[in-house]
Amino acid sequence: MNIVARMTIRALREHGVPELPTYDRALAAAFTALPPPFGRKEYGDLYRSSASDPDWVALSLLTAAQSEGEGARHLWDMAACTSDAEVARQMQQHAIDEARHSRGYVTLLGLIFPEAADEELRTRLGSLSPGYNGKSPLVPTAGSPYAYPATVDELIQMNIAEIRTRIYHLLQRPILLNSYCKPNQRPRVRQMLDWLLVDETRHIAYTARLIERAAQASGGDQIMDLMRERVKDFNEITEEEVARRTLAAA
Amino acid sequence: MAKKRARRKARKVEVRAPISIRVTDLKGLSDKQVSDLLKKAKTAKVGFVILNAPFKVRPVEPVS
Repeated sequence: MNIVARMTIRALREHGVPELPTYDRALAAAFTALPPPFGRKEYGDLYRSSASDPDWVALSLLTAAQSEGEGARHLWDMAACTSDAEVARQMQQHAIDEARHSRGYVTLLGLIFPEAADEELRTRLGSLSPGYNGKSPLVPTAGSPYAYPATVDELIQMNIAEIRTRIYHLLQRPILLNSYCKPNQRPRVRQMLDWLLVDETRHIAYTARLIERAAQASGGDQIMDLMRERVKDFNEITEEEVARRTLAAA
Repeated sequence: MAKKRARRKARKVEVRAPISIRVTDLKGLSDKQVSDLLKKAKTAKVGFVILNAPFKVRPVEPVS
């Protein structure tokens, strides 16, 4: 089995997710047939090589804050348009988590690179997060391209994207803790990285469960095909992102 | 062809040049300018993007 599929399924079991026959099979088959670039050694090497530059690492934390905030808004818009109450509720919680992650990355910047951004800038960077909470009105943003109901296709896409995000966390964790974090800040940074990782695993878990539920309702073949198709799409996205990074650095 | 070349290049792990957008450049910018700059930096300079939402957006009528 492909290493990313193996790591993901192991993480799900450790997270308390029981065996999900169709999901587990679909993930293993798709990742084995179409190995994701983010499971390759070169991907990790590129991250570690890039992360030797402290300014790049600081910028990566800020772009993560921006990405998490943007993702939160997209998920919120979709949750607001999804009629299945259970799916909508879980997507809403996912969006709240990502909004919190956005603020968390700005906090990490302050803890790890206190000289990089003063308090005023850090406060303003807080606006990258939509700041959702359980009391925020669940309504879509007017004109949002994400304002449509989630189907199993969207759940599969979110699941694959979260798997890559989890790999990203595993790459950045030792670099932040061991290469950049001052010893006195290490316990707090470790705690933050721990909850980020748990959250990302939880997001893989809930989408996996919903995908399995859909498989029980509509049959496994559709899930197998869709997983393979979206893994192929996402591999292309990852390849392009990494190519742009490599070209930008050349 | 260019895409294929880019992909071949992506497999090499040679990062030589420092990035040109620096965190300190963000000081003094408006919130929107900061957000726009980070969006540009996200793929071109950082390359490791966090994605949580669906990546194939359906072509549907936007809500009014």
